[in-house]
Amino acid sequence: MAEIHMKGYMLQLLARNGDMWDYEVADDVMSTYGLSGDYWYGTVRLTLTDLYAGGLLDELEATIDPEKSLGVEKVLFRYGLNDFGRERMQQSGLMEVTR
Amino acid sequence: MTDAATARVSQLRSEHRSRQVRWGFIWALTCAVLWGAWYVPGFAIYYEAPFVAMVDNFLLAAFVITVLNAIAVLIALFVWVAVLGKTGDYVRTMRQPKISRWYLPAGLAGMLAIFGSIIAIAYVGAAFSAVAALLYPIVGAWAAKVWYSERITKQAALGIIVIVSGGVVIFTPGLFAEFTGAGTGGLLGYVGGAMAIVGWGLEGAIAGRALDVSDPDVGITLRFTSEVAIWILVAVPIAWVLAGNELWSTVGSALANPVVWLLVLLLGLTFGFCYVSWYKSFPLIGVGRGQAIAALYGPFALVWLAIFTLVTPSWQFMVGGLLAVAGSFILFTERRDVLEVIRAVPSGRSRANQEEQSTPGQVRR
Repeated sequence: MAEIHMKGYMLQLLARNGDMWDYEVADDVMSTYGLSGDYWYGTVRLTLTDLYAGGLLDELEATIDPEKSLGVEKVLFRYGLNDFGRERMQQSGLMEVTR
Repeated sequence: MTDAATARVSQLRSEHRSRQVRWGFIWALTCAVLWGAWYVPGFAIYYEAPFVAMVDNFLLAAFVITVLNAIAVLIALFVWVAVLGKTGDYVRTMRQPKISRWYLPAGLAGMLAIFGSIIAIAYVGAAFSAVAALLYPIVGAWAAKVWYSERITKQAALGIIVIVSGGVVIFTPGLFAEFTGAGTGGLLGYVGGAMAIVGWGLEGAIAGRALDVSDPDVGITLRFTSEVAIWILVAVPIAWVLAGNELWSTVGSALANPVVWLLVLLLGLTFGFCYVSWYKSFPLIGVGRGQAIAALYGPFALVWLAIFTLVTPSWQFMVGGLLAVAGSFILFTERRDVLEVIRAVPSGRSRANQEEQSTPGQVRR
């Protein structure tokens, strides 16, 4: 279980790993916080949508892969943290020095 | 990928982004409906003991009601966050001082706004107070644009102004009578009105900043945690000094009346979930647009009060209501790619930048 809140953890994950698909973020968040199911998968995707709309993430790619979205034809996004996102993380004490 | 597959992805993508924007508007509208509904228990409670007998001591009655309201909202939000499974995240977010500290000024600004609107009611009148409060999106949109480059396009600015004017028109019948009858206490009332405009506007802008790095459901709960803390630690002691033991006797008789409990429950539910929706809309469509749509609470409040009191609204209501609806359409029909990312932030590879550089024919609608 991470000590940081979920949205902060997601930002740190993207800062550490570079670009990630939304389902990869969801898998990581759910295993880190010991969660499972559609609800949390949707919650993570919704949080990514918030971050994208707020201009902290860039949408780099979109695709369809029903195997990755619980058998439903759903659009999947690959996101990357941008400079504004990094700036917000720094201001919010979310930037890790080394890890 | 084949052309057909690419087209399918592009179609699903644009549907997804449309849904994102539509939900932003749905949340803001939900806020307006609930905020309007809040006025029903909000008015009814003044007709209950002990408040009904406190005409000469309106400010004390309003103070006690406002504190009870804030506590009821916080309890409703604790239940909400627990149901969503986010209680752990509430604690974790609170432990991030560089994030949670923003909710203190947000709570303070919101608290000054609601208190200002009560002062405006007391010293000028209810219609003036309503009009003043409705102007807040202008401050919110301006602050969000200046502070973190929220995209307030010309069309968005027009939409905000039209919605706000609609709200002002609705309350004109009472407004002029109040101006002429305000008397010597008027100035204090106008200060209260200004507190409402600036307070709610700034609260939204501060919340927009804090929500960049925290969850809306958790954020709003932290904001009310701050507000309740300020009421109890700062405002209640001051009121105790000013009002003496009458404060506690009022609280005592209020809590002895079961109808007050019911009304406070309704206040907490309507105000609590109106605020949840308000905060959920900000990350999706921005503070300026979210606040403007939420300002439709003015017309909704009159609709709700008309339903419960069976008093028909005036013709000004029709004109103002139509204006407010027209303003909402001006906001909603803005190009989707403008609304998709609500900030004009520097980013080397953002979609918005790519579009600005592309030819007009390539811009998605």
